[in-house]
Amino acid sequence: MRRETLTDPKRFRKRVRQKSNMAAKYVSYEMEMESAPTFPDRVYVESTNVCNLDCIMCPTGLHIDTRPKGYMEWDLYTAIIDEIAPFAEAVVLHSWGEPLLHKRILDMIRYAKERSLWVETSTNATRLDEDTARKLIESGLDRIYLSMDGLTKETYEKVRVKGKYDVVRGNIERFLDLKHELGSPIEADIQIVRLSETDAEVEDFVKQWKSSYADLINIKELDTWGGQIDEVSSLAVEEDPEDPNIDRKPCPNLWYHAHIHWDGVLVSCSRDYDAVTPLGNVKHGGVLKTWHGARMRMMRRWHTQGNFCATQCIDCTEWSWWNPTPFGGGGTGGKTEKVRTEESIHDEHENQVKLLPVLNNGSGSPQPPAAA
Amino acid sequence: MSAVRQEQQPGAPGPESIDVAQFAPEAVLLKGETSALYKRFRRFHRLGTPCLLFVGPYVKQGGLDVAIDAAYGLRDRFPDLRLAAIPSGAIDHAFLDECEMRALGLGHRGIVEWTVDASELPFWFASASAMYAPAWSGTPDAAMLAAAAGTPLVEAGSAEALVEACTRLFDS
Repeated sequence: MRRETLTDPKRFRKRVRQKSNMAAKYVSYEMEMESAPTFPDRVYVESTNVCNLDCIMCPTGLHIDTRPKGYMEWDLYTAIIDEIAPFAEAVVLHSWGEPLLHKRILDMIRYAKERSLWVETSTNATRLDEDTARKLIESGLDRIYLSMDGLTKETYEKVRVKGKYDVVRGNIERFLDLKHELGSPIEADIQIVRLSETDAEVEDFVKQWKSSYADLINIKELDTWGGQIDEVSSLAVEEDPEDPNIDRKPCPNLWYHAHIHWDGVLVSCSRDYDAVTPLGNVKHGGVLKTWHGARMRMMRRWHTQGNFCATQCIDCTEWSWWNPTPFGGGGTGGKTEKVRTEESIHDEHENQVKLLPVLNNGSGSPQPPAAA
Repeated sequence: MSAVRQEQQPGAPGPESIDVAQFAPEAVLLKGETSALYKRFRRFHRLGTPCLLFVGPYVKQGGLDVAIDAAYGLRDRFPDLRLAAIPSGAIDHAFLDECEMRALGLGHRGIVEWTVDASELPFWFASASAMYAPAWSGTPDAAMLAAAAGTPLVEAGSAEALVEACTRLFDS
């Protein structure tokens, strides 16, 4: 636990609430309860579903989504944040669009940070010019995923259609330099999705970014979005012939996270990219009321009864990426291999050296730094 | 004591307060700005054709469950069917919960609005291919508004009868 959490009673109470919520959620999931006095620890808030790229592994890029395009209104956003701030751990500001296209994305980050939420987002870095990079770093954002799907220009531009390799790479490098210069604690993760087009380049990609100022290199397994789109499923690198649906379990996502689209519609998870099974609208009664609402409870009941008839659930295998325990859901960020960069190893060493005098506290042998 | 909590829906069509002329097709579809708003409204709610509109109280015997069951019955013949329900009158939250659960299988094709913006009422009526509002549910105003909008009003006492009536209407 962080030191400021131990010294601030308000933070401490919130942390205790969050920890007990995790345990309660684990029990309610394992006991297959439709409803329990729990809350989502991680809330995905889609700032927009508008994107400027046509990525080949994305329903937005493939233009097969039919729901209306839009940007979350400020009043709706603040209402969501005001409601979830006392309990939620993290707010994630991306879903099916490019967050930097939202005119008020920086305000959105600041607003959530002022309410002590962990804030993260992802970007394709096409709009990450110097000014935006500096403002993003200064906004207090906790984590950013920088998507760079490809080692070479050819691969990148084949995967991220309309993206300009040189521009994006330059933007990312400048962002990382700035983060280093400013000594910002923001966690910047370079990300590549492993799919048939990028698979051969993953190893060299890691080597290339290993010595950068990034914190982690995420090698993300292709999310087939529940196997709903043949063009996307066909991009998978075949290596796991075992079908997890032989022993199918209810999807933990329904008990752990909340996914809210830009128009306030609550959906089961990001695989319902087209809101084919809307579970209510948070505009009508708030996040918790909707998350505990009739449709959400029915969805959980369907799953516990072995009924996976919702469009996004039928062929989904991504549920198996979760690994619920009393301490967490284990389903954050999809199936991702995380490689540490030299910078993060160096930073950790530096932090340990700095923390030793504090932790040692004159009581004898030094202790390891506390986990966050 | 009854455990059922009912409340009056403030945004629903009320008697004298509504300007019926706003519901006329020429008012909704032909006025420049209104027409653009109407298109945006339809896109936002993903309203297709045919669209069955339910207007009534969300209480037992109010007919919402009948409309939902009818939507399931009509799905095979009309795959693009939309059911839109807007409240008028009392709301029994326990009953609404049951209906929401029942409607889940319709997905985005079965919209149950919990509240409705009065300014959008003419758009709901204009979007409907047919309106179902059981007369005995106490919403004579809805029938009047449907008439103003030129939306056929369907009367049926059961889901089967409603399916049959809608099938004839949508096929014609």
